[in-house]
Amino acid sequence: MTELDKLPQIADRALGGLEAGPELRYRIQMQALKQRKRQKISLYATKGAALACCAALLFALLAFPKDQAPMNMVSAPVITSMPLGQDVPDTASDDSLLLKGEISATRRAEGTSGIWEEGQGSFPLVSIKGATYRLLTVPSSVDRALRGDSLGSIEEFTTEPSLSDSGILSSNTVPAGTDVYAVSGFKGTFVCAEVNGVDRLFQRVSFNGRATTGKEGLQDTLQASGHVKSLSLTGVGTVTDTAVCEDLMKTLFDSAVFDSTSTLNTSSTLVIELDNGLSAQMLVREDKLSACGTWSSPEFIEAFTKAAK
Amino acid sequence: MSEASTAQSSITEMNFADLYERFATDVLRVCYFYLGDRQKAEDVCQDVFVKLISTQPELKAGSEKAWLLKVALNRCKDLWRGAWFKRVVLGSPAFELVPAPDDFERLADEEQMMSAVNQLPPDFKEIVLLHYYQGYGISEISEMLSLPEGTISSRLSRSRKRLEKILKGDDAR
Repeated sequence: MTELDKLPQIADRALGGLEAGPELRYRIQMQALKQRKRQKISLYATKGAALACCAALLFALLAFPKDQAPMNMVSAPVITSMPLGQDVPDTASDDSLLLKGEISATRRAEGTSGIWEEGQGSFPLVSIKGATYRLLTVPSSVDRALRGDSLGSIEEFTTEPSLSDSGILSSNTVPAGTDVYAVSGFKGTFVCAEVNGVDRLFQRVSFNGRATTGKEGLQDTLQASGHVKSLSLTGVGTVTDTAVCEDLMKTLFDSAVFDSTSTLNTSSTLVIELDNGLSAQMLVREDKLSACGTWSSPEFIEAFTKAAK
Repeated sequence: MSEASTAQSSITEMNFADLYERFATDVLRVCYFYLGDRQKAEDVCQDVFVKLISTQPELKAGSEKAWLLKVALNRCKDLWRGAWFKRVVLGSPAFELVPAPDDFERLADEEQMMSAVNQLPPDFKEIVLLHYYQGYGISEISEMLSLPEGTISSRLSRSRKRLEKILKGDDAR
């Protein structure tokens, strides 16, 4: 595009009045100076705290007999949450986000293979420090052997549609105190937790204006590379060669560009069948795919169409 | 030691002044182009140079500007994703240009292009700014953003198509 080649000249003319002047430079130097002072204070404080901790630990070791020593405290991992997309306005009614009625995670529409649990139209969710996972209709149970690392237990059971925003583990489906686990080999994509005595599967999704956290990309919410058994795209076909599937997943991860936090309204799907018996599903329309946020990848659609032939 | 050597330097007061003089305006303009908000662009520019002073990165001679732009674009992306930006900036009046005093007459013709670039999604916009505005090649951008060269080429191509749509007024977004 010829006009784009002229962008430096256009931008320089259009922004010619925008200069980084001495005022900004002074601000930078002052800020750097303040920061340096803070770091010094913090260093002294850290040294002081370290000495105090050493003294306290020594005291504790002396005070407790060997067989009565307190258990080691392990701090929970912290994930910095970064909201994406429009925040839900404060005035939004609860009804627009969560239909009224009792949440029933065990009810599901027979004979459907949809991505979502059908229990009374509500959204059964687990929220883990900014990441949201939605209960899948299929499978209706998960083999315990697939349980991976424990991610902690549900701290808050809430029927609030946006779940808790305090960075803790919360759910409107999984009871408080229930442990939530990653699924082996698919950390980030799935979690599982016991609901009504059965281990159920939850897939990472965008919800309430939030998709990825921090600097996550599609691969962080859909770790499936190297585990894919087959790929099926509605109306196009199925690819069962695992090497080709892996190439296609690589194309998807390399080319996908984040489009929005919304979820596509479509009946076309990409079903990613994994070698552990589970399937992940993305909704597809034209060159866009969504599960956790909507991503655009014409390269993947083109490559899939070619491979399916 | 030759000028073009790979000698690495830490940031002293003197070369901060030099780096600021040479690159701060470019960093500020790229940030403004990206964010469309002058105050925020200045804040990002400030953060970038404070980081330069406080972290004292080991930079190869000639790579200082790339480092500054990389840090600036990451910060812009964080801001763009943040709730504040969604609420405040996108709801504020259209992208405002800051022309030099004698260039007003050309503004109308060029405003459309500037505005179109500003409307690109973040992943496209940063590559267009680095390639077309700041003149970096595919391999340099690939290194700066830690993405494969194929991805950069593909995004550039898709950016051009998206820009054409925006300029024709039939962008489907």
